[in-house]
Amino acid sequence: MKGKFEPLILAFCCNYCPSCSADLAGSLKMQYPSNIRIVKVPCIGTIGAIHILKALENGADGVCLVGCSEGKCEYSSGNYRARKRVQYVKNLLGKLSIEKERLEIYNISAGEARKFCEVAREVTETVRSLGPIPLKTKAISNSKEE
Amino acid sequence: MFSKVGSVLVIGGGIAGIQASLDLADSGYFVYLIEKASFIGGKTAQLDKTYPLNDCSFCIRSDKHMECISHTNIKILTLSEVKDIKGSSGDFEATIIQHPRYVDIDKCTNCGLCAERCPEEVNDEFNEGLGKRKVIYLEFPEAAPNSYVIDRKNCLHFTEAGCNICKEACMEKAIDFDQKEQNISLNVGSIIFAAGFDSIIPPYYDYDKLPNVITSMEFERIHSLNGPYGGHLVRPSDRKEPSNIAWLQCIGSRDIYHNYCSSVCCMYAIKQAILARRSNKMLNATIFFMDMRVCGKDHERYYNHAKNEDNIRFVRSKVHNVFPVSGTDDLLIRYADEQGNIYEEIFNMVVLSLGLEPSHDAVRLAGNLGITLDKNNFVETSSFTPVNTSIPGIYVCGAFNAPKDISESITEASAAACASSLNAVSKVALPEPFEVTEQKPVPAGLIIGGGVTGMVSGLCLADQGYKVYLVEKTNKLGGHALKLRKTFKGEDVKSYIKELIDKVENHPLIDVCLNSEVKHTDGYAGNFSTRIAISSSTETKNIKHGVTIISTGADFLRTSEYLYGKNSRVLIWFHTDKILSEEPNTIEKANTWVFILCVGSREPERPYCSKICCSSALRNAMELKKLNPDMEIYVLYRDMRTYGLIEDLYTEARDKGIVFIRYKLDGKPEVEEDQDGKLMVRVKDNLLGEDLIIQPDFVTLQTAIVPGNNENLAKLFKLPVDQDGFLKEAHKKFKPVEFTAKGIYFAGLVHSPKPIDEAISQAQAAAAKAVTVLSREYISTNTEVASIDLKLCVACLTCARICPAGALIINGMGKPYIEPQKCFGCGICAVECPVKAISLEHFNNDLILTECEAFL
Repeated sequence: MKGKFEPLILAFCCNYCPSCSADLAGSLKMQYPSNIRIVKVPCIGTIGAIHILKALENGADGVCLVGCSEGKCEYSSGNYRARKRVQYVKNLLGKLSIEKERLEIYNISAGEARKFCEVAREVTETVRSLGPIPLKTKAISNSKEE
Repeated sequence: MFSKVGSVLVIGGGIAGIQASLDLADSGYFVYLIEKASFIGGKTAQLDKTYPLNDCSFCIRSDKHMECISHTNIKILTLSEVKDIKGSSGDFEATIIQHPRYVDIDKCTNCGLCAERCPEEVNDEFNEGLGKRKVIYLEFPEAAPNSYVIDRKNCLHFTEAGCNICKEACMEKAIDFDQKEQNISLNVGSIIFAAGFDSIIPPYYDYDKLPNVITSMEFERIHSLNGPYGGHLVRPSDRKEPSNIAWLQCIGSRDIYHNYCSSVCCMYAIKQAILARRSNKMLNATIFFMDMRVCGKDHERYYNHAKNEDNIRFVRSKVHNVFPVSGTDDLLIRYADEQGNIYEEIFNMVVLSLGLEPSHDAVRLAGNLGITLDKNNFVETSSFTPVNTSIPGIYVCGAFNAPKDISESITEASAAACASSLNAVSKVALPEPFEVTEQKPVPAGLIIGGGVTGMVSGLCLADQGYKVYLVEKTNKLGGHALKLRKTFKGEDVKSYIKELIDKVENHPLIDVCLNSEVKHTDGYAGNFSTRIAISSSTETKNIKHGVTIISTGADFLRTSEYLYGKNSRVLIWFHTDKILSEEPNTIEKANTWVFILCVGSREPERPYCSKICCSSALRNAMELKKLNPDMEIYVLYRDMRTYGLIEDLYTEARDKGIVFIRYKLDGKPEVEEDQDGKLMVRVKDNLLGEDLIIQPDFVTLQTAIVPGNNENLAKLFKLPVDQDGFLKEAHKKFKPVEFTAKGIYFAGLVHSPKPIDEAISQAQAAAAKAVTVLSREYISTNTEVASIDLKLCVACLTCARICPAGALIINGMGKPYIEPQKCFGCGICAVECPVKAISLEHFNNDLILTECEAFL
């Protein structure tokens, strides 16, 4: 039976602030949508265009990158690079006729558990309203879909 | 893994205790960290944000907490108190009482079911009584150790036998009402008191009757996201958002019961006012103060920003009463300005900036042990041994020593770690040539700058068995301290320096290189190589060392203001010292002396405070009065910054009849001379509103401390320099003596202006940090390092350009090589490489993609 579309969102979180805020959200028992799957990376600057595109190609309906606040990157410029890369990939997505809003980058600091949940909700709803990504190269059994 | 053995007891698990424990543990010592609460972090755990960066207190502290909890060399005993200590330095026997938590830390998963079901609610002390908590509770979500605790006093299981609701709810069977108090006996070599402070609420200001008169800590809790109001800034009586708030400074400080300054209140009130206005742009924030004591590094800038950009209103007036406004929950403040005009204003909320008293429990314990305390019950220490108590083997750090802020407490904690490690193990290395191997850190330290700071750091390292190269660019040791006579407490600096230089020159492990400068340096933590040049010749020396400590000091301002350089009776501060030492006759003949403070400091060109001028001027003024009691002495100042325990000096000076005249930046005093060369000082007195004319025999200018030539040094060692020209630490609050680059540390005036006792404890702190590198058996390398597949590499050198760690070196064939010891493991090079030739050891491309696929 066709239920409500549940998008699959891959959230790349760096090991520092975003992971901390996600953990804090957990211990504060704050709710955020289970559509968000977190992949931890040492620095958000480690994520390149290839990773974002592969993720979308392999079934993610949306991708978000979560890095530390401006100026607080442990490796000084990782989050700036990531932002530039996200712009680049958004342009690529535009050329592929894929909605640019499926990809976004956020800066969250370690104590901002509430913001993490808000971001998670915002991303889920944005991608939900866009519908499933128009390029599934594999037959994915997304449990809520037909 | 470590080559040292010894254990240390740290009393107090606040930020100072945590830092001391980490430094000791990282150097191979075993640490018992005793904390009376159920969590570590102390008062910092209650803070919302910290000044001057307005960082979230939790974000910044959390990695220190996590390290502390998981460190194999640290045993944390919460809910524990020290009952007694016997023995002596090197061999103490401490008896600890550990109170039962009634919850098994290892089993508790923090699910919270127990608290949900618990039928009894009490006032929440962590939230300063503003909220409620259950009897079985977690102090706050991030509490470490992360486990619930039962408050026995209010627990129905104990008070009215039989309540087992939480025990039955717990799915992990973690609750155990049979836990008993334990007596633990510990054998340690040294003890560090890091017991912190308590705040008292004075009986005035009707705090008990007026709900909207709150304490500074209550404000922190109200503003905290995990606080009783969820971070929503509202007032206690009616939960409405205040539209104007007043802060009253010096509550419980600088009064007849506490003749000292609590040091931190000016800054924290400014911080709270800034945060309040950020959460509500329409809110009016007013701070009522006596002197604005923002002397630390970057603090003056913070204050200027608050005044100019954040629109915080500062009113120089001591408020004596807060009155309720009938029919409302508002408060009326009546105050007088400097001209004597009386005003009345209504506020929605009033915050009392409470002072710091030494922890009451620790005072009792210290008294029992015979540790000498001063008249305010802070631990009595000498300026030259700032972390030593009167009992050998027992050290002190943080607010229990004297009121101070977080970064100073952390510095002192490292200093105490250094001092106590010398005690826990007595090991003297023989001055043999050492072998430099690939893996072991070179057991030597390079110290640049042979002033007091450099010498103290050098001795700390050498006394622990490491070779020290002390490089000094002039032809003698001692630095600026050679100009000083006495500390603010009146201790003799000259004899101290003589002893210090003696010890350094005669130490078998210290190699003093005078007339020398650093020309080139390379390497990484544990394995540096530096070339020194001796200025009088073409001789150079290559030094291999494991760590570097920079203690190059600073300089004093060459001013042209106030006729300095034109009239020989206008002196710079250290000239006064010279006259006091060498020309008592001159002093006896002088009738009038004027001190001008803030010469060159706190101005647009130099928006920082030089910290030592107020105390130095008063110390000398007191000496002058002693030699010539009839002399009239005037001190012209902008804010009297006799912070901390130095406040005593200010009280004494006023008692002795020294006249204090306040001037403003836009109304600076004028110094003129008549045709006979006699001086005349004109200054507008704020109280009289008129110009005063003084005809002094001498004028002493307390000139600014300015950074030395740090540009060269910064370039050589690739170090950051701040806006004022001083070297910049890795983190202003939590890493005060380190840089982001590992293995290199700094201390003393090169960091910021400070008095000799703070320079000495900073020197010890830098040495303690250095030892955490030197004491390892192997140079620790990151397991997650990147490596380049040279078969794929096209030598575009993108990686070399972007590496934040500077870990890329280009080999002879133009191809890059990643130095594993420098690599952070961030992976930025891996993702930028256009041919994907770089992979991170445990975190390569394939791994990321596989992880993604696992989800999808």
